[in-house]
Amino acid sequence: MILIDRIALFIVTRKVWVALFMLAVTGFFLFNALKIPVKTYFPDLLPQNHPFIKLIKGHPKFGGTNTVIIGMEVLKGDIFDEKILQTLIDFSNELYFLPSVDRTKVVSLGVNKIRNAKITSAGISSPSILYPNAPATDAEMDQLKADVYSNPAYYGNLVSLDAKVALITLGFFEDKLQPRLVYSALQNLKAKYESDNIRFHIVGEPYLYGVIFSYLPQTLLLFLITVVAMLTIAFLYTRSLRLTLVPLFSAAICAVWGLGFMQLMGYTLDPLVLVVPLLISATALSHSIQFNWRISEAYAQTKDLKESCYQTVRALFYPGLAGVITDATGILLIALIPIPLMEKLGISIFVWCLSMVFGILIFNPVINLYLPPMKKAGRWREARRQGFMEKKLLPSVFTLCSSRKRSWTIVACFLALALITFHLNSNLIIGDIEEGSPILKPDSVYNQDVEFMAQRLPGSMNPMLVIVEGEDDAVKEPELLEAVDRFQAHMAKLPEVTMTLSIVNLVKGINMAFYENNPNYFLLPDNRKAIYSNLHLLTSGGAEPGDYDTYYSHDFNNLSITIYCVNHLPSTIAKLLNHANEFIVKNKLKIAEIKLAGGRIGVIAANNESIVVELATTLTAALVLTGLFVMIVFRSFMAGLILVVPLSLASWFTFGYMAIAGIAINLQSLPVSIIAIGIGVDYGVYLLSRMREEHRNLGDLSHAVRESINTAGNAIILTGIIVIAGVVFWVFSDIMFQAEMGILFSIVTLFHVLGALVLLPAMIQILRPRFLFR
Amino acid sequence: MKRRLLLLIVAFSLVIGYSPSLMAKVDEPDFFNTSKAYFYNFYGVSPLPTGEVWAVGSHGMICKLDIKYKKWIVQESGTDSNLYGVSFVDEQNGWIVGQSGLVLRTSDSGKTWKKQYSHTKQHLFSVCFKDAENGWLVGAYGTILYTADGGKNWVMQGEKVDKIYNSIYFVNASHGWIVGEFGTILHTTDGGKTWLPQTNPLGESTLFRVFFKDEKQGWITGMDGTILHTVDGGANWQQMTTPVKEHLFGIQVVDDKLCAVGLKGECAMSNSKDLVRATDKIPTRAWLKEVAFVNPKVAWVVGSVGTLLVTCDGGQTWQSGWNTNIPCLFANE
Repeated sequence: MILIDRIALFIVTRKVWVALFMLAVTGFFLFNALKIPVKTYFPDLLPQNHPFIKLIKGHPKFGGTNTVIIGMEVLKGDIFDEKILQTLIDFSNELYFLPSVDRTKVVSLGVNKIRNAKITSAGISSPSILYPNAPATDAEMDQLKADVYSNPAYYGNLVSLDAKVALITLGFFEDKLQPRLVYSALQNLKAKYESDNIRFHIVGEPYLYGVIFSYLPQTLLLFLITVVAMLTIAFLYTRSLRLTLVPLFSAAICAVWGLGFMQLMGYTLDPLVLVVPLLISATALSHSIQFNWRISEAYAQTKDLKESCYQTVRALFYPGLAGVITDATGILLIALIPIPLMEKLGISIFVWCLSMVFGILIFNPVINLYLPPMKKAGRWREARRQGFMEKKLLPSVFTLCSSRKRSWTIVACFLALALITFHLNSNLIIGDIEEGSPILKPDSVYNQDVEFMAQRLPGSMNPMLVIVEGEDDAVKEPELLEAVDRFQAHMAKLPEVTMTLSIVNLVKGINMAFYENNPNYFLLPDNRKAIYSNLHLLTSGGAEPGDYDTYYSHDFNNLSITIYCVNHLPSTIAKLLNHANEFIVKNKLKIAEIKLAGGRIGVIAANNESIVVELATTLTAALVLTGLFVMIVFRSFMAGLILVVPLSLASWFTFGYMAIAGIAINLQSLPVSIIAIGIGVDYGVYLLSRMREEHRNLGDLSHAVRESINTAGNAIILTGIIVIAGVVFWVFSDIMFQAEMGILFSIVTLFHVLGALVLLPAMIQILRPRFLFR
Repeated sequence: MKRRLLLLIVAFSLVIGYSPSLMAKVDEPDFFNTSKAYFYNFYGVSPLPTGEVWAVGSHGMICKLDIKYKKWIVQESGTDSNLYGVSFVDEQNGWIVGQSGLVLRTSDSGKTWKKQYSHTKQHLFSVCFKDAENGWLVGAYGTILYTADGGKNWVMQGEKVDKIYNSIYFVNASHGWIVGEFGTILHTTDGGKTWLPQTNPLGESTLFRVFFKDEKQGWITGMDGTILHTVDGGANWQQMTTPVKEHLFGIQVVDDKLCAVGLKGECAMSNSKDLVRATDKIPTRAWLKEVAFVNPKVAWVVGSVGTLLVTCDGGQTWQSGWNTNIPCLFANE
């Protein structure tokens, strides 16, 4: 007795043990799965091991990614109006009471810490320029204007160049951050303070997270629609409640195992990538439908349920196992992308996928054995053989490649399409190019606000943080500050840089104040003592603790430089980094090191670099592994090669679609091709297995091709439709992360189905590979 | 015949192919991206009778309003330091002074700027040349430098004192004045060989700028809106009643029109004797460092955060000088 016979016999004869085992393990996983948090853990979106991200994490006080930026827009007139300024003061005041807000990081023209240092013969004073009351007289207003316009740290930074927008920023404690509460509190404040003449535009990661949470009901709705759609298709295809509900139950068991494993690993169920679990559930559903279909067909023939299950396990266990392993391998490969979200997704979905071996291949026959046999199985079987697909669609698919001449035409068409795509792919964009968040659609309110801020306060949305790590007291050294000043000037020469800011700007201002406000002394002192006294004046002149945390560290070792940029296009980022590196290489410092790069630009650069580096390697690895796997299954090099061609073309065409649609290769689009390769190879494996089987029975390749299209083609189309149904509705999601994954999975699946049903048979007709005749 | 035709076609194609690249090789100046002017603080401005205007500022900024291209062009200064003053005696010859003893000279209308050795590390704040040979510089720590050979050699004048000299002005090669910290007013009648103090009625209040219309009539600006006036070459200085209370850094008088500018965009003007506050005419509250008249109608003002203003109507209205479409800018043509 060979191994497969033993496995089949074990499953049908030890059904109690199998059922108890499944019940126990599923119960254990269910217990854990019910506790899984449904949330996005946003640090997981960042490549945590990238030097830029490590740098940001090493200096949280210099400003991480937890900053909200608010633009208060005045529709008529400018901000220099008593009522408007009072609104700014009051609004800023209320921000202090937001949950998890770091009060030292609430900055606007209307807060206490925005001061103007004055050094007179009477002494040193540093009064707030606006807080606590808006100017009531023309003279006071004039004084405020002078204070703002004469200070480059305020003008163009806290107040737009046209004075119609005031900027408010607020930082949060990362460990206490509650985006949902922050979002609703800011929404309430917005409603309270907006008027006919005042609009608020709120952007920034903590707020964005809240916006995404606000889409949870929509995510739930799309999830329900998807499940209903998949079940409807399953029912329409099988016309059997049994063949719909058993697969649903099997897919649910796999989901319980997958979710339970995720909870045990300490992962969360991330709504952003919900499309991937649904894709796997769709795959599980289609695997299970095919398995149960075969059982029902066998039962219609034998009228013996036990025998039908035994035969089905014998016939489908290995191909099914091969399918599950290829699906799982593709998914595991995305764990190679050095972004935690992808690592976690890869590992957890890999296990979810493997659970199909137990949930479907082993447990499905057992479920069938516990259920009453299918009534009128013979009639069901006959009716299904007269269906539209079997009678009309699949025979016409075969006619496309029924002769070698027609096959050549098909191959030539695919080749031409590949060449066109080659041209299109030169426009493929790597990295995020939209001004707003790639998680949301460009026309979302949030991204519209980002666009507004980018236009009205150029640079406010795209800061690049440069950190200077120095020896003890390095910040007090004229040599260091002078280098920082030159670095800022060097960066400012780039047209893409709108502003630069560091402690140097403030020290120069204080120095000028020391010299009786003589503009000639808006420069850095040339000795350590003078620099220290300037820094001391900054912090002692009525400043609050933490006011200058974003500029330099308390121990005077490190300082930060912020370079504000017009956009974060990959070309701009590359230019910025190259330009900065040029300076760093030419200006090595003895006492400190200039390190790149934090801020939004640093985060995006790290993401882009991680994606670019991993795209080619992961995609190649997926194709090579899949090819190797097929070679092993069919014991033929040619089989691997033949199957990899339609798979590569499907990815290639999907990239072509991305180029046309302007979808960039980013965190949401990158995993699609890789995951799809694993799932797409199933179709080819079904077809070639069947072809080999039919050739053995019929002895003629053309007939074998026709029969395999008629039989395996049925399964391919079913799987394709269910998988597309599992992902396509996400196109309507307002979360672009979900929408892009949805559309791309749908498209790549369509290409996989076309490749397997049209290109693969055509290639077989032309090449007539020997492995099929063995 | 065919071969010749072919050769002709090849030659023709080559000429056509290369012509755009040949044209591209024409030496175009480096045009200033004026939308980024706010990166710089401007300290000095020098409009020439030809219509060209020179402005200098922080981070080694030298820019020139070019009458040929009708655009602002940037010139390489080779420094990142502040440049405080600019003085041109004609279209070709000019000098710039700056931080840490920096002196730059051009004799080709700014195409090249060469460093001159001032033999000092002190900041130099003001420069005055009356011809291509004779010039003076002042700066921190009582620095007064003189050249009689266009800057090839600079010699120290006066005593070395711990005072900042903010401004120097010569009406001719003999008569000059210096003002600075602690209310200092110095005067020379021999081209700087001897510098004698003049009495400041305000005591030790710092003075920022001196300007003389002729050997007798002069003005000085200082702290808290101070303007001093003399009609006897500085023997007696009188404090004028001014309508502003902020420091005034720049002053110039042409005919009977006076304009003084200073901190927080303050501006005082007069047509006759009465000074009026003209700050509301100035479209910025940045500090304004220098004012320079071309004629009673046209004047330039420079200051912080990229401020460069021009008036074509004697100060009634001021516009951004970065906008080169203003008709009066090229009225000489």
